[in-house]
Amino acid sequence: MNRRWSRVLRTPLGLASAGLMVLVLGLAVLGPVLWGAAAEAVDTDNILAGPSSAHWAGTDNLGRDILLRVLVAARLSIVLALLAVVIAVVAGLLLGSAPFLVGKRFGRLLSATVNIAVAFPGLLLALFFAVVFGVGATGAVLAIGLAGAPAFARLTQTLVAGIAARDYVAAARVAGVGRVRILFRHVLPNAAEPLVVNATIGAGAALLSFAGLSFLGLGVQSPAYDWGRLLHDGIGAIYVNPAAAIAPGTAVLVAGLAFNLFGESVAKGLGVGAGPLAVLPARTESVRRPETAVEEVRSVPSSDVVLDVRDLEVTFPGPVRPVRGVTFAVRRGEALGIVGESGSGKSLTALAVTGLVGDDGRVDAARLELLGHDLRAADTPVRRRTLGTSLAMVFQDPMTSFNPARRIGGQLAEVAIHHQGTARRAAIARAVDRLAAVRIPDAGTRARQYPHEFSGGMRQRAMIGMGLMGTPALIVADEPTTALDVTVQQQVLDLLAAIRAADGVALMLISHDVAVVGDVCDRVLVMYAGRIVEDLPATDLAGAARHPYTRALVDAVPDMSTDLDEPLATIPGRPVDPAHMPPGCAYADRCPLADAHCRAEDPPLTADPGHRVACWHAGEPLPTPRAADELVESP
Amino acid sequence: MTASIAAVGQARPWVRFGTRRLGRLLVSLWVLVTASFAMIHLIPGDPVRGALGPTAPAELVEARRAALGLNDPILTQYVHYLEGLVTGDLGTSLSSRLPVSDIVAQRLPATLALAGLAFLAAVVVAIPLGVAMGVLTRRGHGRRTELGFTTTSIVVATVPDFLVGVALVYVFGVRLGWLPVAGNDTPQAYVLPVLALAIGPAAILARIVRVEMVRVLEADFVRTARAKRLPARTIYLGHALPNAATAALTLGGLLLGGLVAGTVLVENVFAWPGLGSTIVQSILNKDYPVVQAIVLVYGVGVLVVNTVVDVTLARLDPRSLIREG
Amino acid sequence: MKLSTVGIAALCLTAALAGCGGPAPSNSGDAQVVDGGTFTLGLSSDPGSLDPQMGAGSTLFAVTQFAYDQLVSVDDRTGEIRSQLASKWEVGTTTGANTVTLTLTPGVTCADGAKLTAKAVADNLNFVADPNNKSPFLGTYLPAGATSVGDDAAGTVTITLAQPAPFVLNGLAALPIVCPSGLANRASLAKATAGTGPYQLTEAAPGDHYTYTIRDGYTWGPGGATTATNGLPDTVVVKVVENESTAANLLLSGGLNAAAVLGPDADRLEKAGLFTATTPAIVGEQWYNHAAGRVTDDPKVRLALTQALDLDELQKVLTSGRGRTATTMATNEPAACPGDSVSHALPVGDAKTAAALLDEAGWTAGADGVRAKNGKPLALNFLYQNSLGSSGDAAAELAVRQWKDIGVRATAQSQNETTLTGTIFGAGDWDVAWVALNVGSPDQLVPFLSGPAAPQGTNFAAISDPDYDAAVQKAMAMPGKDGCKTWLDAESALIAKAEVVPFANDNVRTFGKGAKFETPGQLIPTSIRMLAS
Repeated sequence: MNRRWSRVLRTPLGLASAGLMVLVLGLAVLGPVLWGAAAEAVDTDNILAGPSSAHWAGTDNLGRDILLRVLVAARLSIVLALLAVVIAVVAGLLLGSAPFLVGKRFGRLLSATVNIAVAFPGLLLALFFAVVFGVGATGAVLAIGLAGAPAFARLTQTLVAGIAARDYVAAARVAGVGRVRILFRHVLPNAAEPLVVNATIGAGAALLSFAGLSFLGLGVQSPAYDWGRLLHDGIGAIYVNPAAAIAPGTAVLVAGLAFNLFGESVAKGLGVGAGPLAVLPARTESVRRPETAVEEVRSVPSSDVVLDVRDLEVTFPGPVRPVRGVTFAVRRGEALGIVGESGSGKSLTALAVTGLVGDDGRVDAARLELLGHDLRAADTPVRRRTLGTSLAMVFQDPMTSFNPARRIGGQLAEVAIHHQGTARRAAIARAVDRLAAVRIPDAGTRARQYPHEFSGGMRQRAMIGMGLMGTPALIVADEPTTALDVTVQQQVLDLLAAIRAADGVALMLISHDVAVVGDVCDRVLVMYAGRIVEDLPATDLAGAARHPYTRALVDAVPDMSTDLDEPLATIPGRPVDPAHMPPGCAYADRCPLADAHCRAEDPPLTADPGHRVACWHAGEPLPTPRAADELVESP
Repeated sequence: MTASIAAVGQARPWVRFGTRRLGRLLVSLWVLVTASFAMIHLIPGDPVRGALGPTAPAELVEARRAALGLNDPILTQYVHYLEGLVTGDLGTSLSSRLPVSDIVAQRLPATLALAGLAFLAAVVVAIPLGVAMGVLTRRGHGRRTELGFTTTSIVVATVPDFLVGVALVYVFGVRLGWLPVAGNDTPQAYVLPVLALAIGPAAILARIVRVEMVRVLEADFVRTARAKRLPARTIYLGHALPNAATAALTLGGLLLGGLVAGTVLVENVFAWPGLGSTIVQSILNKDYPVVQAIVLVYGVGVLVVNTVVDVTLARLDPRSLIREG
Repeated sequence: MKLSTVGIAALCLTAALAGCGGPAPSNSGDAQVVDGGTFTLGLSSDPGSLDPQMGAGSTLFAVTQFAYDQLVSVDDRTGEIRSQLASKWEVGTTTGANTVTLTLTPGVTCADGAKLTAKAVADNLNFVADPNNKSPFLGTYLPAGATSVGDDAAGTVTITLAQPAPFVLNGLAALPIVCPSGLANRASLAKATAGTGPYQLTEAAPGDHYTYTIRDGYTWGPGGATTATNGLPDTVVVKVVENESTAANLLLSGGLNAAAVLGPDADRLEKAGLFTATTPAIVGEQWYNHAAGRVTDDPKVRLALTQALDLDELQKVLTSGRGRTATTMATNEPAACPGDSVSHALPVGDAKTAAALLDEAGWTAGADGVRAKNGKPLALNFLYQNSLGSSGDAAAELAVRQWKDIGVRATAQSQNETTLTGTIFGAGDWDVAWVALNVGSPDQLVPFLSGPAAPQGTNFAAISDPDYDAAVQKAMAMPGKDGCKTWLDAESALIAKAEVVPFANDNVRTFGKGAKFETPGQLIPTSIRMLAS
């Protein structure tokens, strides 16, 4: 507890507001003692004087010093505000915990009433109660207190409901402990902290409300005076002596801010950890590391290369480099799969080639071209048009990848409207056509629906349809089936295959599932720790994979020969942390073939037409035919 | 109320939503009307004696009681009150002896204009500011900007509107003499009251819009929009903003409700001839029929605002149709 | 309920009965007079019902001037009676009774085109004279018991008085005359006008503004003023501006052409060089509730409460140091009876003598410092009008404090004109009140200082002083100013006994921007001249 409170004081805001609180409360205690008499001294020869050395904020209609009166008024202002908050909290607690005590039906009625009351602004409720209780300080305290009650009641309700649902409360109930006892023993002590925090903020609000009521003449009445009352008098004289209004106004403001900010910083300190003022590490420039292994691969891009990627790197502040020198190309109509465990950099590679890496990431490449257009170039309408029509993207989670607030048809049509200059109506027609093309039944109706009205598989097909709004040369599909039911996975894959076959569209399929990739793709890139470790024809996967990692991946796929009684094979060990990349082969720690050389030097990706591999021991037999048998359990 | 309406078809969310929302509005309205009726009866002791003083002549008290209809059985009074409301008869002011409906009709437009313009000003300032701040401080950007903006907006939002008003009066009225600080006779006279009322809500709204923008800009569908290579403007305004607006609007409704109430104080600072200055005078004069009517008008205003917000919300975010109720 | 509409003309500072001239307005340079345009007048509160004979608040007086005429007017410099609706008048004795015969100016028409007949004028006077109608002007502007007869053929109205009335014409000069259509439909007068005045009401937005439009062919104004005069505005908008600072701001910005400003804001208007029309008035006058059962029923308590106050200090606070001590109770210049009935008569004493007096009266200090008698605490319900703004609040606070020093617990409460009138004339739950009563001649005070108490009569403080009554009888019998010494002596006697305590006078200043005008008590519509900006 103490540590948590000291954390509050450690933030600059917390410290400043705590200091202000001490100042304000100190003033409330000492003000009347020190200056009480002086603030009452009438001097009728010095009425309504402006600021002077004797009276820093001038004098009022009776020649009394305004500044002293402001200082003395601190006590009444704060005491009244605190009283009001006490009333608000007590009434709120009663109202809010009542549903817990009195049972469901009556409780529901109470909650409903509280909910209605919460909808009305506090000042309105305060005015209502001010009428009921009459004009004056007592009436105003009751008014502001009761007006604040619904908010506290709502808070209490939420807290109580939350705590009451916990196991130990349920246990106490089962044990036959009475509701009142439970409330006081278990529920309220746990709700105390948020209530105290909110009461502190509430005190600030009450102070301001009270100033408001007194300012209107409905609060404290003469001869008593609080800040609001002084402001009420001061505003009348604002043209004669502005200080008469500014002094009490400032006091109200400072005190209100003190309570509010203190409450806020306590809430932050006790609640969510670091406050908003915590400083994050600054972005550091990544140092470009000379590539160890850049191999000559198709030095001249042939005309049928759709995507040409050379030496691609993605760097995040830290610096962390999850993608390290990836080079590959995709040809027209080709289906390229990228496989790897999560964290291997495969998805980032996909995002990098499509220019969708978040703003905090940096993408570097020796070459990054789509249909000959440099993807690294500045964003221009022309470039957007090219990419928008020739590059389609399918994401993993179709649920969140559509804008929930807009109709499906409109989201598809947008592509045509922006990139092809199609009129809205025609674009919608095209969207319906595309939806039909991705086998969405009753596409016309569906186009007018919102994403949440679609099923998962349908959404993913619609997403693919969105990519078909243009004339894509490449579809990048990042785990397009992972979030889907097994039954619809195949539909989506079939659809992608059909599109590829029909239009000669190249496909880049990112997946953690070797089986899927092997099924759909012509060629497979295996990635590990941000690098391509093997690039091979899909047909070679089963028998001709040369990298130990690839082989392990393939072995982990259950096939007809897998003994179902055995636990499923997995790759032992964990992927390396991209922040702590070892000097040698990143896979060495998990590799049964690894030796000292492997750990010291990272193997380059060796060129071999049609098959690239980065391993010092490429193709060497593994120590035991089925290594996985011994290392079944992942740690 | 839930059970009977749940039967209405699932297939037509709008019907379901509309019925529920209407039901809630009616219940709230009934509570409000009853509360405004009960107000005068909640006053401890005899409200008439309280207003006239303990030594007032009995016949005067009696006459005043009769004028307020306090001698009838409470149920009869309630029915009369409801009848009056339905026919637009809000009673007669005790001090000016004018029909309360005339007073309200006389004063309401000024308050509506003030609240409406202030809300408009808050929205017009806060949304672009919030969007711009959201874009500037999206993940990995503008830590300092974020810190400065958040701190400023918290502080600004804490300053109550009447103090903003006093400060504006001092700076623009007393010091600079640029703008009128009272009445609503000229277009210039609107500037300061509208500002005083709009600044706080604008700060809160801008803050929420920023947070929401930052959140939404992280969302998958924004990535989708980027994948579609839409222009930045379309991504921010067409895709991100509507989704950020949902939360902003929920809050905006609360703010507008608060703004309606805020007019009471601001009107008194700027001697604005609206309901706010009238209700304060009426409370001081114990002119109960006027107070009742104005409380009712404010309350209805708040309810209408909340309903409009919910409906707009449903338009913007179709999912809330289902969540609602 | 009706009672609370009955105000008194002079409750308000800006109100003064006609019959007293005002000093010449100060000059604001020689700006060019322009004809037509709109003149906007700021009023501190809403007049409420517009029936000109049923209320006497200052604001009602102010708006009444535009649409209604009186039978005669008073020259604001000399105090002489001049023509208005009547071009000739004769005060005399016919067949043993006191009579006033007025000959109407020929050709006077109402705003609706109807002719104002002598009979209609007599109906007006008889309406006011009928106690059942509870017009506040009965006894104030029209002597009680007066009966009137109109002769349409001769165009004369003859008023027969029940007793001599030395200033009867001064009273008539303040009594607005309603046209036949209004008499026939009394209720319509609350929201519309039916008069012969230079302007007529064309739009009423209660609580906000009232718009008056000029009439053509009006030639029977005070001293022969006509609406053909160059410089008169075509439209007059009377705007309710409750807050004085606001009124000041609006004056400076041109949002108002005229408004009376009493408080601290007057200084900056003066500095800004605005046109000023000044009229002196009582601003501080303390009344005690003499009704049986009130603590202030006891003469010793009244005297002690008066002695306990530092009246000079109160005056200074109340007028923010710009005022003077009071002189007479009918103080509007040129007062019918100028002089000083106050300063030598005010009870002398201090807190000590006051305390002694209370001890003597049996009010002894209790444990809590509050005096009590037979278990009843010496607690005062002290009312004051909110029109003086923070100066009024401060002065009231000071008074409460000075009373507290002698063991009196006073609760000060500021009320607006309507509420205060309602309290003192109706509910009657008050002990001490600051009500500034401004009139031009001392006889107009009689209904307030004697006779049936409120709520039946106008004597809101329930003063019953046989010496005063006797003095009034004597003074009433003397013609005109011959009775002045007797009148003033009667006032002094009241003040010496602390029945009523006038303690502060001030110059009420009506500021003008883009217009000039005269304010002998009221702003005179036909005196308005619009100025080129």
